[in-house]
This record gives sequence, C-alpha cells and structure tokens, in this order.
Amino acid sequence: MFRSFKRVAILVGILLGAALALAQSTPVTNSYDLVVTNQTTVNSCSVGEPVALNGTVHVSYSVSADNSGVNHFAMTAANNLTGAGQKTGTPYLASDSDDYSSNNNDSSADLTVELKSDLKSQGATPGLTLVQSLHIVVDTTGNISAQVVSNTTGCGS
Amino acid sequence: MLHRTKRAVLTLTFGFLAMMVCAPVAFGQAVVTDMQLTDQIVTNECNGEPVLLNGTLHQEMSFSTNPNGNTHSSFNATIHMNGYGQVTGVYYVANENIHNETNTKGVAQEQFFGTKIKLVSQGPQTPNMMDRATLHVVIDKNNVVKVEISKHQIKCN
Repeated sequence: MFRSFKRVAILVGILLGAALALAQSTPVTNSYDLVVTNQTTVNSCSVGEPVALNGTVHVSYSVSADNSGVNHFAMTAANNLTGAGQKTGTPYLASDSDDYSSNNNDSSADLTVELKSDLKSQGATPGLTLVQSLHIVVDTTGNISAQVVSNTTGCGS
Repeated sequence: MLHRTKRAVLTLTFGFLAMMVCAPVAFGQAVVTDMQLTDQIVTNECNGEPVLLNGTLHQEMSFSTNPNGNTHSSFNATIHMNGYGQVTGVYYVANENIHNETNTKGVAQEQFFGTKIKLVSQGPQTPNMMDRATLHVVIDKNNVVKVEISKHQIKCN
C-alpha cells in the first residue's frame, strides 16, 4: 500500500516538473491596438505648425522564462498614422516600428519607450522625425496595454 | 521609560540613515556613462556601401526604489556620430536624443531599446540614411551598469 502511494507520488512529481518545464519554455504572446485620435505634435523643423495625428499603434509582445527564473519580454510597437498640418493643410504619413526587450525576474513588464518614425510630408514641406513616447505595461496575467505619453518631433542635424 | 523610548527613536533614526548611505540605489542614484564609437564599419543596406562610424554615446541614468522594492529607472542618452561612406566618400552627421524608463522589481535588469539615428548627408545630392540601432543596458545584481550600442543597421531613410 505504502509502495503504491510512493510510486504515484513520484509519478505526479515527474508530471508536475514536466508541465512546469513546458510552461517555462512556451512563449506567451499577446497584442494591443492603441487608437490615436487627433493627437497633436508640432512640426518645429520647417513651418512650425501643429500636426493632428490619427491612426493606430499596434503593440505586441512575447515572454518566455529561462531556467534561472529570468523572464524575457520581447516587444514590438508599430504605428500607422496620418497627419494633417493645421495651418497649411499638408498631409503627412508615418509607418514604422521598433523592438524592445526587457529581461528581469519580474513576472510583469512596465516600460516607457520611444517609437521613432519618419513623418513624411505629402506636400511641399520637408519631412521630419516623429517621436512617440509609449508607456507599455504587461501585467502579471499576461495582458498588455499601452498609451501615448507624448508626441514630439526631431529634425536630425 | 522616556529614556528608553528616546534611545529607540535615535537608534531607528541612525539605522535609517545608515541604510541610505549603504544602499544608495534604493534611495536615488544617478549614474553617468560615456562611450566612444570608434571605427565601426556597417554596410549600408540601401546601396551596399560600407560606412565608417565614429562618435560618442553619453548616457545618464537615475534610479529610485520604493519601500516595496520596485525600482523606477530613467535612461537618457545622447548620441553624436559621424559616418563616412567608404566608396562614395559621402559624409554623414547624426545627433540624437533617447529617453526610456522602466519599472522593475529590484534594480537588476537587462534592457534592449530599439531606436533610430538619422544620418544626415553632408553632400549636395546624396540622400539621408537611417541607422536602426539598439541601445543595450545591463544592470547586474551588484548595481554595476554596462551600456553599449549592440546593433547598427543602416537603411535608406
């Protein structure tokens, strides 16, 4: 009777270990679409006009844990935006992506990162770089959320 | 009785101050690193030309930890770089600022921040290029910080 119980206990232990190892090696993925509605940035490179931005920022991630308990979060943010110059009426387009990784022993991730994209003028005004500061949170249940903290522009050199 | 209470308060006060001195990261610390980019050759995927990169990476980091052990880290980097086309002789100049933040359990972390560095052509007819770079930051369990640009990928702007 005692031997049978011991065998069952060992079997359960092995199965639990295997399940844990599988859970550690299988990456979890999830994504979030952030809708951008009439957010404003300023083209300070040429005409100095406000530009209204509309579109989406798609944020996705995968996470996997290694044997030492470190979680590896791999994230991508990709935008697809249109812009409208508020003085000249010049249309702009932006579509680009950036990757970020965060490795630590936390079961959640909380990053504020920059997504830089070319804000290409569809008119006579020269293009510029749009810098979107994104606050991305992956909570302990695996849900991802994001918000735009700021929209600024850069002119390069 | 009053003496004992007074002594206890003094002991607690000195203990708290001692903790602040012994664990500066836990109560706010700024770390500055400067790195040289010296003669890095990266192939321009736009036209196949090798580009010689030189410059500086200046990074200022600050950390603050709350009583729950959660650390807020702020990373500000400034990149000044020049590129020299090895076939065409075109000269490029880049000046970029990068800002990222993380919230982690404890201080130890490894972060890969994707960013873009605009290489502005100094020639009259040559287009600008984009360096898709990765800023790699490691803070180990002893609070030793390492910063590098772990990847350059030069593409058409």
